[in-house]
Amino acid sequence: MGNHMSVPEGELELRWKRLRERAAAGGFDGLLVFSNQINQTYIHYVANYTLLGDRSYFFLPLAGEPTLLIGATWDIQHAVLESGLSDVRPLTRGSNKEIISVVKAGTKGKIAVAGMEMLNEKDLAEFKTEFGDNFVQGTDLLEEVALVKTDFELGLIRKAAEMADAAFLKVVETAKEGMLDYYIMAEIDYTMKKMGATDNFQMSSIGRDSTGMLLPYGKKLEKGDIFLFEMTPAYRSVTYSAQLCRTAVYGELPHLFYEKYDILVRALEESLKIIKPGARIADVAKIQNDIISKAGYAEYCRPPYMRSRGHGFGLGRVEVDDECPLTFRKNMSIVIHPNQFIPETGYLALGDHIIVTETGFERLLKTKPMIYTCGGGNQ
Amino acid sequence: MSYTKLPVLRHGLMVRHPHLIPDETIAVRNSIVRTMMKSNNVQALVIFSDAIHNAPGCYLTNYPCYGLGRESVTVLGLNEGPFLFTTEPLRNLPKVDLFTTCPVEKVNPASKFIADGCAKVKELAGEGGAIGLVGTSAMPVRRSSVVKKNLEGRSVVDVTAEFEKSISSKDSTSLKCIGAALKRARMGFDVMREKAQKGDDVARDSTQLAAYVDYVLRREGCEDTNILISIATSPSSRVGQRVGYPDSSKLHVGDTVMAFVGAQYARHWGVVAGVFKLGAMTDKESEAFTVLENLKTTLPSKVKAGMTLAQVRVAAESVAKKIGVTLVSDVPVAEGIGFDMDEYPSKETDKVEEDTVLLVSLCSEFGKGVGTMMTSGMLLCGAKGGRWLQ
Repeated sequence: MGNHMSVPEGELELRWKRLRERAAAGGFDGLLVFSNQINQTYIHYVANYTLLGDRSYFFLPLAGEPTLLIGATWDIQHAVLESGLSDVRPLTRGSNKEIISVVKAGTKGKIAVAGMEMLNEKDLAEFKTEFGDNFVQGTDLLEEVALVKTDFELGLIRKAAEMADAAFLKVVETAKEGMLDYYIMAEIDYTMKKMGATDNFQMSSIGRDSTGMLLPYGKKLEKGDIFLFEMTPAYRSVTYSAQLCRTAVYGELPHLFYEKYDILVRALEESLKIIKPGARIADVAKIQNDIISKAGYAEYCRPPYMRSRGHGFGLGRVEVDDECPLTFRKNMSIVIHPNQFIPETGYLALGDHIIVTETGFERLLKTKPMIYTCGGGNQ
Repeated sequence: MSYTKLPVLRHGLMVRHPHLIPDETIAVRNSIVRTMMKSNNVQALVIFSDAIHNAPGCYLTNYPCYGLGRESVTVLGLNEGPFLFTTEPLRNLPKVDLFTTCPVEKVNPASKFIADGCAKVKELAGEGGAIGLVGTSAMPVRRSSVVKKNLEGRSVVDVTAEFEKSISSKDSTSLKCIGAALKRARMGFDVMREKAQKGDDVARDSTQLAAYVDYVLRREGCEDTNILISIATSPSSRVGQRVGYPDSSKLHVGDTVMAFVGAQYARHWGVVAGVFKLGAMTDKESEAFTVLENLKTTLPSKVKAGMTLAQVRVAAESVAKKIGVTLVSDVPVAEGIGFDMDEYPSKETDKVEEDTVLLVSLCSEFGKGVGTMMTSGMLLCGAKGGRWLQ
């Protein structure tokens, strides 16, 4: 069996170092991380383990070796190979006795618990009985540390962006009249998965007068149909996702669509210009909303038509809206998307994934911000 | 072995499948649950579902909780409902009826769907009426605390166990859907074996092969797939071989492939799992494979409704022992499957009901020369024994 999903030497240790520093600064004596299938990103970040089975715990003491505990006993061999950890143990189904014993042996002090909100009532009560007030919510601690990516993580995100570009161009090349929407989704997934994608947050709309993106429901492609896509391949973990938001047409569109799309392109380009470490994230949303509002669509810049103008993925998630209190930091990974509902055209999709650099930002997608025409002529 | 990786969003074909799941079936299911409510003196029911535990809400509404919403609350009164409260973005409301038989009463922001569901259940239960809870004990605390707060002061009864038991007996509609899903899983497994054995370009490594099978199944209308695979090259790596997430391992003639192909169609799962060889099996390997297949032939007559999962394991181990095989202890022999990949019965103490479908995995070590062999099947359980679904 191979071990192709491992991380370079020192990568996990770097993350643990940052987590330990942050935990110590917060007065914690250890970090307990919980993941289930709804949110696998926590465990993946700290242990490089792709969760199979119902749940997993990871305990990181301030000093000494960490322990990974997994729900799927049969997956132990794989967990050891993928994580590279020396202490990987099985959990008894429906019981927390093993993790309680590991934490008790590792610390007598305060424990930051990342993923505490995902525990069910019974499990939380059991931990509270054992550890009392020392069992403290610590998800923010993990989120904060993971917000700034390591070089290795940035490499995974760049690879995910390549997958998104390739999948979008595949649709533009292969779409033909009568093709079913779920066949198109299959082409997208296949293109990404061949490149190593491990997941894909995929929404789309194929048709006319779209009010938003959905899931495929058996629609056949017709001339004049507009494709809206939010393609989001993940490479190894959802945290390492890159999102492409694009619009394409099968057949021809009235000039009005291109005119309106230019508003979105302008909103994207103008908002990107301010991105650099220290700049306010809220200003990106404000610039986009301002440009779209001045074009006459202020009321469509709010829910239910629009929610945010971008976000991160998985761990270290931020919302790009005009109330975001954060500033950009070097090595953040974010999609910026002025996706917009416009009454004359319906919903239009546009967004680029970026990484914040020392002096500005790196644009990850190679496909241009424009309405693509299936079958060619996309210059 | 049934609990595999949950994707962030399932995005295959997502329709109501009225030819397979008629509205009448959903109406009958609601009556069955109302009977259960009456026997528990419950006036109204509030049911929590999410992408892991999709079954409860889906059973009553056909709504797939693994789409954009990923969570829902279903409310059922003795005479009214079901009412569905989803986390679908408001703009999707007009299209939600593509997925569900239930008119979408309300679509709320994520933070309010539970509160609004609770308000509805209180209204249906009347002032002094008892409220039944389904699924709340498995809910994350960030959600269950909202339920607690909103139902404070009301008489509540957790009827999750009764509900799960009643829906673990599959009706003819569910069995048809499982059959359709199983057919696709079988197709996926066969395609995988054929491509790998031919040395086709799509089978150059485990990631490419899994991607291709996923592609084939999505074009067959699957809502999602769950494909695990492992490649054992050397005789020593065959010992302890288990399926895992595709990891780009190369395939060579002589390798042993262990695969788990899950296909979700019309809200239900079908799974085919097993081992195949790239190239001819040795005599010892063929012998081991035949022994497991013989075990599979004998087992159904030993598994009966009323047994616990622990008793099912003992029965399988006893049959295995008679033919000189020891089943590995880390792979569950049987678990419930249907709407969810892992549903009631799932704990050792859970009882198998009549018409429950079990995913049975028979896995044994045959030493260094052969390694691990595995076969599987979906067993429909009856009072006098089971039968493999084809």
